[in-house]
Formats: sequence, C-alpha cells, structure tokens
Amino acid sequence: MAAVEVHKFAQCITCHAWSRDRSMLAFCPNNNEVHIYALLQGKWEKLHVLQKHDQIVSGIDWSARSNKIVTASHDRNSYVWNLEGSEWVPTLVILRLNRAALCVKWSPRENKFAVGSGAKTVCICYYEQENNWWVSKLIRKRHDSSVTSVAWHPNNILLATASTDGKCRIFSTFIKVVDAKESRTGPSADSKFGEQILQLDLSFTWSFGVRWSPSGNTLAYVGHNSMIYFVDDVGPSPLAQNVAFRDLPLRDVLFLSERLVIGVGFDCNPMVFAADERGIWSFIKFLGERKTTSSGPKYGSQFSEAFGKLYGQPKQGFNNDTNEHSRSRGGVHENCINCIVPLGDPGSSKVKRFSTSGLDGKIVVWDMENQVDLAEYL
Amino acid sequence: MSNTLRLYLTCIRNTLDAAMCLQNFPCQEVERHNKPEVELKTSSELLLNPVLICRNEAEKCLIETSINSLRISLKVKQADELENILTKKFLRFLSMRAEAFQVLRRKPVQGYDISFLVTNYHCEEMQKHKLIDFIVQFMEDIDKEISELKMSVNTRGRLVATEFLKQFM
Amino acid sequence: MACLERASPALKRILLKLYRENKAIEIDHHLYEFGSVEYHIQSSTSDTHYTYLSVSTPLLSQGVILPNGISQYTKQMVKGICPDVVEIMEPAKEGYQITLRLDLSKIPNGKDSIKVIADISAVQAVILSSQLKEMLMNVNSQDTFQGMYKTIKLVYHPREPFFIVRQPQKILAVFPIRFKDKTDVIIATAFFQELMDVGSSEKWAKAPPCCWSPIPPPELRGEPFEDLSTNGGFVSFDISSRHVKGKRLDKTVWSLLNFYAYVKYHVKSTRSFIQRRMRKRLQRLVEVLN
Repeated sequence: MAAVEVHKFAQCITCHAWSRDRSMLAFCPNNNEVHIYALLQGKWEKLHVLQKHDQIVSGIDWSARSNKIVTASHDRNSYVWNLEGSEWVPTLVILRLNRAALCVKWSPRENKFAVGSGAKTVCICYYEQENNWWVSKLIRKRHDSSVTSVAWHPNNILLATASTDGKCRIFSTFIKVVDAKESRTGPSADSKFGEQILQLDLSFTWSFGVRWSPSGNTLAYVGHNSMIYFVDDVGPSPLAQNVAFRDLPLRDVLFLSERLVIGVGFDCNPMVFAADERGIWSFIKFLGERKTTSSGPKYGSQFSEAFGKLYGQPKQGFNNDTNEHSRSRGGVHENCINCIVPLGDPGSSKVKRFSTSGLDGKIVVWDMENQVDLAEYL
Repeated sequence: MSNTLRLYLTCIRNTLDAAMCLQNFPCQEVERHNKPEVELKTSSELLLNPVLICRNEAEKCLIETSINSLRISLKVKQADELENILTKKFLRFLSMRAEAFQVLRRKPVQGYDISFLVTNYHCEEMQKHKLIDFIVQFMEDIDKEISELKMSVNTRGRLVATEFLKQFM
Repeated sequence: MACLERASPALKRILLKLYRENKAIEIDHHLYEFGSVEYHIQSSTSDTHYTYLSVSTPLLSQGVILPNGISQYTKQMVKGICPDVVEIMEPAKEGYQITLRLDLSKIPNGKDSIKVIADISAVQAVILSSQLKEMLMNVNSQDTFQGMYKTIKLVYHPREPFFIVRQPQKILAVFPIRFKDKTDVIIATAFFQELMDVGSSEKWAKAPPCCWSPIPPPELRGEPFEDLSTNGGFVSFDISSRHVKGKRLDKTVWSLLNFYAYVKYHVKSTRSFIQRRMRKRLQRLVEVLN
C-alpha cells in the first residue's frame, strides 16, 4: 500500500504545507484560517490557528531553512508568519493586488516568494532589510487570465506560471538587490526582471499545476482537457510532449525524480507518469487501489430516494431496473485532490515520500519505497 | 425504462461526470467577489463549450460548464397539452421552492423547463457521484411524476363525467 | 350536487324566517345572484297576510319564443310549485318578470314546511328550466317551424350562451367553451375527452350522446362570429325524445342548464387537486432533508 498515513483533519482542505522536519503541518480548512498541527506523543494535535486573512486561504508554503510560513488568500493579501517564542507573528505583505491571490511559493533560496493572482499578474516579493518589510514587484504583462500555479526553477531566477488562458510561461525574476550575479546561469543569463523567456501554448483550455524536475531540466504542467505536458530544453527551442489520459483532469503535479511524475486531481487517485530510457513520457498506473464498490444498494426511483443519495441517507427502496450509478471515484481520497507536496530533503534529487490533500479534508502521506515496479524510475 | 431513455440518461451521466470538475475560483472582474462564472459569463476564457444532449426534438439537456460552476438545463417530454401544463406547473412549483433543493435554479434557462446550478461549493459539501445520481434520478422521476399526475387528472375527469351522465338516467 | 343548488339559499333563509316568526314583520329586501338574477321580497305589517316575491331573471331566449316575457307554460309551472301558497300577480311589478304573492300561513306544518319553502326559493330555477322544457318537449313536433330547423341561442348567463338546434327526431344542444386561462382549457378538454369516452360505452347508451370538437358543428353555420370563436371548442349533446319523457325531462333540463357550472367546478377542483398533490410531494422531499 502506497498510502502510509491518512489523516482527516477537516471537512475540506484547500492546501497544506509541512515544517522542515515534518513534525508540524499547516493547512487551510477551506476558510480564512490556517491551522497548524504538531505531532505530540504520536498524536496530531492542533497547536495554532492563524487568523489574519478575511477570505479563503488559497496558498501556504513553509520555508525549510528560515522556518517562515507564507500564506496567500482571496482577500488579495499575503502574510509572512514567523515563529517568535510560541507565537506565530504575521507580517503583512503589500502585494499591490486588486484581485484574489491564488497561489504562493518560496523560491529555492527562500529570499523571494511568488504569488499568482486573479488580477492576471504575478507578484515577486522580497525582503527589504533597511525598511524591515516585504516588497512586491509585479509581472504585469503577458497573462490573459488568472495565474493558477507558480513554480520556481532551482536556479532561484526562473519562474514558471500556469494560467486559465491555457498557457504556461517562464519569466525571469532577477532582482538586483537580492540575486547575486553568480546565480545567473543558463538561458536567463542576461534577462531583466519580468522578461518572458518562453510561452508554451500547448493546451487549448485552462492550465494548472506547473512544476520543475529536481534538476530544472524538465517542466511539467497540466491542462483541464485531461492532458499533461512535459517540456525539455526550456529555452529558444523547447521540446514538448503532450500526454493524454482517459481519466478526469489533473490539478497539480510533482516530480519524484527526473523520470517520475505524480499527478493529482479530479480522479481522486494519484496518477503515475514516467519517462522511459528514450525520454518518452506515458501514464503508468494509479497509485492507490481503486474502490470497486458502487454507491451501495439500489434505490427506488422516487425523489425521496434521490434525495437520500444526495444527502447520504440512503433509503432502502424497491429494486428496479432503472438505475445505474455513478461510481464513486478514488480510494483513499474521496474527492478531488488539489495539492501535492514533496516530503524529502529539499535539494535532494529524489523524493520518496509525498503528501496530498483535497476536498475530502484528508491529508494522505504516500511512500514509494515498496513500489517495486516504479523503482527503476526513481 | 425504455432503451432510448437509458442511453439518454447514461450519456447525461457521463457528460456530467466529465463536466463536474469544478474548483473554487474568485471573480477576475470584481474585487473580492466569488460568483458562478457560468451565470456571470464575464470572462469568456473561463467557460467551456456547452454540450447539448438530445433524446429527440422534445427532450434535451444542455450542460454549460465554467471553471467554478455548471448549469444543467432540461427540456422535459410533453406528449400533449395536459402533460405540457402539468410539467410547467410542477417544475415551476419546485423552482419556487428551490432553497429546499440547493442545486435547483430558481428560473430555468430560456428555452428549458428546469435548470440546475452546481457550484464548487456543492462539490465540496456533497459527493460528486451522489450529486450526479440525484440529477439523473430527478430527470427520471419528473417523467414518472408527470405521467402519474396526468393519470390522476384523467381519472378524476372520468369519475366526474360518469357522475354527470348519471343525471340523465 | 352541492355546487348546483336549485334553491337560492338567501331567499330560503328569509322565507324561513318569515314563516317561523308567525307574525308580520317589515321586510324589503333586494337580492342579487349569479347570472343577473334579482329578487325583491316585500312583507309589511300593514298587510299581515301576504308576502310579495318578485323575480327578475334573464330569459333564456330573448325575443325568439316570446317577445313579452314569461310564457303561460312557465307560469303554470311556477304556480305548480305549491298552488295553495303561491299566487301569480298580474301584471308583475315594474322591472320584474314575475311577481308572486305568497301566503305563508298556508304552508303545511311539520316536515313538509321546509320542503315547500325550498321549492319556493327555487322559483328562478323553475322559470329557467320551464323555458327549456318547453322547447325540448317539442322534440318530435315537426310542425312548429314548418320543417325549418331553427337554431335558438339561449343566454342563461350573458357570458355563457348555448345553442339549441332542432333536428328531425332530436334536439342538439351545443355549448361553446371559453376560459380565460389556458390551463383551464386543457383541463376542461381532457374532461370532455373522458365524457365522450364514458358516454360512448354501452353502459351509458341511454344517456344523450356527447361530442367534443374544436370547431363549431355545421348546425351553427350562420351564427354570429363572436358566438363561434372559442378557445375550448364545442360540446354537443343529442337530446332525443327518450330524454324528455316524464320525469327525465326535469333531469335533462337541469343537467343542460348546469353544464357550464359543472365543467367550471370540475376545472377548479382539479386545479386545486394538482396544487395539493404537488405540495404533498414537496413536503415528502423536504422531510428527507430534515
């Protein structure tokens, strides 16, 4: 069994993040709060509730080295939370957004973070020592719709974005005061802040969930048309592969290695994609075991029975020939998975464990150790 | 259930399964708003192509999908005028009390008899397959309820007609 | 049938009161009822003996049969209600078709008294049905119009005229059907279908054959356009001599006169039936929710 831990913390979870040593967990229970749980004597207990946002929290990221939590919310704001003593102290980040913030990610060196927004912009935020505040620089151009996902290249400069305009774009986020000259390598060598390096126009509908491979050589993102796109040689002549699958669309992806990707989404069950020795990507399998049971006994066909279904109060009815039932999706997760987070040493080129959360309010930890058939890709 | 009805409902069921992939998505046009995009239709890129499923000319189902909401509109079979008014009355009656049904839209989309509006919030609270089962079941039951209602109206008419003719005896 | 009472309830109450008082009281009442019917009751202390009841009612067929009001036959029928009590005054009071002088003291005591008063209260129904009876009684009389089969328009209620057409061996009664509401038309139409269905079965072979058609029957050709434009079509009954023999005459006449009211009542109660059923249905659904 690939799922090693299953926790049901809330009715519904929008996003989650772990502390570096995995002893603490932060998640948003589909409201304006962030709950922080800690593992105390083998039990997960609620330690803190971060209440500063006034709308739903759409993104949480926990920096490994500096131990700071950054949150983004539909209320247009971000906060950076710092643990001082036993209190999490928030610092408001002036994002200068006039629409909702949708996603947030610390850069690999944790001196910047990126916020995607419904204002069709991306904010790159950095800390200004002399003023003791977080400054936001906006990438205003290019996006024709909301920015749904952001991903940092390991070089701390390149940022990939996915948008509901269907495109995936790569920008330079070079900021003179924080990015030392020596960090400028590769295709971004002499690009200015906000310059678009590449625009990928592979999907004809909304794209979500973008990630880089550990080395930064491959980029993956998903389209709502049940496609996942893999892009190598990001630069002037990129190589793209489109992989279609027969199940419901994905929401997010994660590289476990250069050749292994996990996709999560509406099918409620993590999907494994892998590249063969020639570098050709394909769908391998579902990671979780599928439940094969249908949704219980057959119901009679009166409204009341239909309501019973809707509200989970099945009424035993007379059998009739009318009904087939929609199968309930997934196995461990019972509703759409919308967040996948690696559990491994940051900087390590391989991830063996990861966690997922979704609309069913569960946080599930998955371990690839025993997946013998996938070992060759890890 | 007739075979064509089964095919029709199965097609709707499968389309709904694919279409009901909704997520929380705040409004791009108005600050601090979060409304069903399928109703507002302010950002064309947030809408998918609508799907029209027809069993025949009289019975069809329109499925309009957006990023955070989905609208299902039904045109119900009305074989004769009596079925027609009974359907109209019944669906109107249900629509007026839409709050009891959560996913029922107060007013049907133009050209249809009844509409459902499913948002990401419904998908968060309820299980998707149950929602789909409910809608498909509802469609089936509407047909049944209308036939039953029609039968009772005719039966009443027959009884009253008999009473009238008795007067001549 | 409750909805189609022959006696006027208000009139009955007043008459009963007068009867029970057993002494003269001052009364001068005007009563107005459905179908442009008006009653005037007078009783005074100066004339302890008699009570006067005048009735104004639209005549079924204005000007066609009798230009000057109520026929002898009708008067006889009215008198026949209770000859001891009822006396017809000549001429009738100004503005009324008929004036009755009632001697309430002549009403027999006991149980019968209520029945007699009810019968007197039904005077308007008697006037109305007598007129139709008179027409129907002549089903077989070919001579009346010298072989000409004339269509007679009967206006029992200004908005609900119906037609009587004489034909050899039978009389055709045609009801144009109009409703304000489309729903009513459809419910009524469904009812007419059932009426035809039931009527054509063997069990009801003795009832007048009934027919519904969306277009006017050919017999009405030549009638004014406004009488022939309907949204609910036309219902016709074939009345043959069998239906007007003896006691049946009264029943037939009453059924025809009340056909509109009957249909309306059915439509109304069917509407509320549908409403009740839907409410019950909804209630059951909501119960599942709570």
